[in-house]
Amino acid sequence: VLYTHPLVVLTLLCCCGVAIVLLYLARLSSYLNDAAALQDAARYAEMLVTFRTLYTTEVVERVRAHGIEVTHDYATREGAIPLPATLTIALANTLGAQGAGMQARLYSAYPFPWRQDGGPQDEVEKTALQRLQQHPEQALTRFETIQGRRSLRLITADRLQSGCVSCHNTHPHSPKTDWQVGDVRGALAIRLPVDTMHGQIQTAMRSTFALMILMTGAGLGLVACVLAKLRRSTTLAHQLAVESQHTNQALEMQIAERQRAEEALQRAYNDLEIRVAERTASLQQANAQLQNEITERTKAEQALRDSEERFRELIEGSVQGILIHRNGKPLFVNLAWAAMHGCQVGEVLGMQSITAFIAPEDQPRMAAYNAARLQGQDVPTSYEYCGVRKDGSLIWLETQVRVIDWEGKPAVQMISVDISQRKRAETALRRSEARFSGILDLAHEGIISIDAAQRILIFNTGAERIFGYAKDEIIGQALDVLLPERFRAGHRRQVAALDGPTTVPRLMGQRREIYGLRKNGEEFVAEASISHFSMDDETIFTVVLRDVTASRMLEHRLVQAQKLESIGQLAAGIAHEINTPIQFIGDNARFLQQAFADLATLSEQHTAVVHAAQAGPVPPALLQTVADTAVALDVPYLLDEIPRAIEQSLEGVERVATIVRAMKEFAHPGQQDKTAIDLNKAIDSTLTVARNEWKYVATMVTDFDPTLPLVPCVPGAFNQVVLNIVVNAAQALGEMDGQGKGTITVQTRQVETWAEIRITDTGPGIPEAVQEKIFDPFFTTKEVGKGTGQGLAIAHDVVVQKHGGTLTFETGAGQGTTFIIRLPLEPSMAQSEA
Amino acid sequence: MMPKHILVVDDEPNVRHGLQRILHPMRHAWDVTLAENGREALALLRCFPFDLVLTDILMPEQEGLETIREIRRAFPAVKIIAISGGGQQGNLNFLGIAECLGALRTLRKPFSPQALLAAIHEVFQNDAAALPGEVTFG
Repeated sequence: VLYTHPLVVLTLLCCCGVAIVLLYLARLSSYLNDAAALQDAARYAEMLVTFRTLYTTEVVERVRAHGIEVTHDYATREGAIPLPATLTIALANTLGAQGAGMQARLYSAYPFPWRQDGGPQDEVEKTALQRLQQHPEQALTRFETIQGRRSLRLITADRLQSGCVSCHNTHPHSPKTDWQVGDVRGALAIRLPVDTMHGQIQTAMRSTFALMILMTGAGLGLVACVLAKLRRSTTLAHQLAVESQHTNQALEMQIAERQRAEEALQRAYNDLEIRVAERTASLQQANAQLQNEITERTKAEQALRDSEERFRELIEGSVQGILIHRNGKPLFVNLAWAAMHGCQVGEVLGMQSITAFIAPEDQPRMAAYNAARLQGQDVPTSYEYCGVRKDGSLIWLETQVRVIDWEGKPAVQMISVDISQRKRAETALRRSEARFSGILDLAHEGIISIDAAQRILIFNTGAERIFGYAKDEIIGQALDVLLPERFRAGHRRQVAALDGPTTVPRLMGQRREIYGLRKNGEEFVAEASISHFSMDDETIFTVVLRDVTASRMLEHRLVQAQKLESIGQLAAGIAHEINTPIQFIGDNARFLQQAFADLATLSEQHTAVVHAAQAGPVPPALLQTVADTAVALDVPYLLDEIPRAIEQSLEGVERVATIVRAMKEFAHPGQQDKTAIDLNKAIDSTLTVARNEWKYVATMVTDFDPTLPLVPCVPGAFNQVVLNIVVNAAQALGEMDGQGKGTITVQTRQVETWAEIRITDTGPGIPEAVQEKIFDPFFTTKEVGKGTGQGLAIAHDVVVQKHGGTLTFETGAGQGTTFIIRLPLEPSMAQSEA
Repeated sequence: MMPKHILVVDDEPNVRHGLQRILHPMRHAWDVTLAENGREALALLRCFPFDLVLTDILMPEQEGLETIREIRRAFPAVKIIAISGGGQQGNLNFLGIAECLGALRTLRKPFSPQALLAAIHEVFQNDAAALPGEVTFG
């Protein structure tokens, strides 16, 4: 029903909805109307009670004190005012008369006599008064219809206030005089018509209903329009569907027809293909027969052509140039010959003579050969000559010449090969050799090559200079002549051991030192590098050597120079060390001289006293003189000081003697060989000699091992090592300004087969950046004039090279430095010198 | 005549005593005090008046050149004679520097007692010669 007649259903639903809403609204309005009436009545009652209470307290009580009469009959009496109840009734009557329709009435079970209507007027009022006397808080409400109008009646209790009680109990006309505060005096009845507002609501409801009906009608009309539109669209769609179904059926029929036509076409095509295949097979057969015939004919022709071609290729394609001429006039030339000379074959054949193709310097020789050959003389049949190309450039040719028979007459056939490349290579080789030999001779080093049999092959100018032999007199000789006798056998063995196949020049070991023998019989030291190289089963050894005699001498001098430098530096210190005792020895000697003179004077006077005593009584004057002299000379001072002066002088003398001894110990002049020495003593001497270098900056602590055996060493060199390290330590401590004296500790110990000397300072340590370099020659961190940078380099050389020991150090920033010298105790452990 | 006060500064006790013995015959004119190093000398100078300081150059603790400079600065009236055993070390001529710093005389060890006495006399002599002039203008 909903789908077929939606409009009817919708209309019914809307009507029902409107009816329900209106019903609900009517109920709601009635309820609200009653509630509002109740609220109004309650507020009206409250207002009247409040007014009466206010009037009683604020007016009545005050005016009565002034003797003003308060009476219900106030209208007829002069200067009287109404009682509170009277005024309240008057107020209610006035308000009720103004048209609101609201009525208020006070009534009681005990009305004053002047109020005829003061008691309950009906059953309702009577019942209400009884109920309120029992439950004064429960007001009574009642909706009723009076004279056709719906009204509300509200009855509340009228209770006596404190201001009322005295008056009511004393009033002459009061029907009851035992009232108490809170007693129910009577009741206040309010009557309020409620049909006025109800009528207004109903009018509003009617207009609301009309509005809703109108809106529902408009909505339904809109829905009807939309539905009509939808219905038209559906009808159109249905028509279209029917039309497209018809079209589809027509198309399906057309496709079926076309498929049938295609099948017929395919069958016709298949027939045609079979026929074409048959025809093709028969044609192929015919073609094959024809092909066979052609091939056989071609083979015969090819055989003929090949034979000709081979011959032509032999001549034309030959890389060898072939030229046949008679008296210089070219008769035949092949492509190679023409190409060698930068020409076309035709160009050559067009020339009258081939002379232009021969370099002018070779023309006479070749002309002579040609003439002689044609006369049957014996001339070279193969030779090289320089040809000239068309562009004028030269070409080297090797040619073979013979006389042949050409068209019945003798002619000359030249078969030539281009050898320019070989010639260029030969020239380059010659140049290279020239350059090589130039380099060889330029080299400052001596360069000598020998073969496996140790015969000298190359001997450059440098070698001539070093050995004193001329190249010519030494080439081909055995290497032995360049070696001192004692090394020859060993050297031969070494070379033989090194021999082995190699094609690359190989460096055999590092540079090393060898001994050479000059022509004048002088031996010398050289630094040599040896390489060996094999080619075509031939081995060549090449040695490059540098005469280091001069640099050895320089090194030796450098060591001496450093020694002198340190001695120079020491000299000032030693001078100071010696000058100090000399000073006080001199001072003391002078003092002793003076003291002796003084004491001699005194002695003379004593002698005089003795003589006088022997002669008789001593003259007091003489005794006085002696006493005065003793005082003047300060004899007690002399007696104290003389022994001290002598003692200190002797100490000074000993000190000088010690220094001088130490100097001798330190220097060891001329002692160059190893000798077993007491290291402790040697170190002690060195420290004494160097005392002035350290005494202001360091406290020296020695910790010598008394059981240390004698150690083989070169004393002067060893002392210098200790000196260099101690001076460095002192300088390191001297650089630490304002930190007081440091300490240098020198220890000796035996560690296994080594004598170990540790020299420790409390200086700033060696910075990491320079640690690697400190043993490098000429490396120094000292300012100019304070050292050449040779000290530690020489120390290292002395310890390691000369003694086969080790020199190491331990250091850390702010932790000081310890140098550790280790010398082998056994002489056999020391490397032999050189 | 008031005795002159002389302060001998040397780190070597034997040298100090030797010099004291040399100066002993002049005990009525010169009063000799000994100090071990520059620091001790300056401490003494701050407590007692001295007319002459006889100081070594190379000393531990506080060396002579520095001492001379400080004496010149703090006690300009004090005369100074510098003595040195090394005298020259490396490229430095200590006694030359001492003179530049204000030492009136320098003596190189070993010097004779006469040379020392002569130098002291000379220094005091110049002092005495300068005195009347000062009085005239004073």
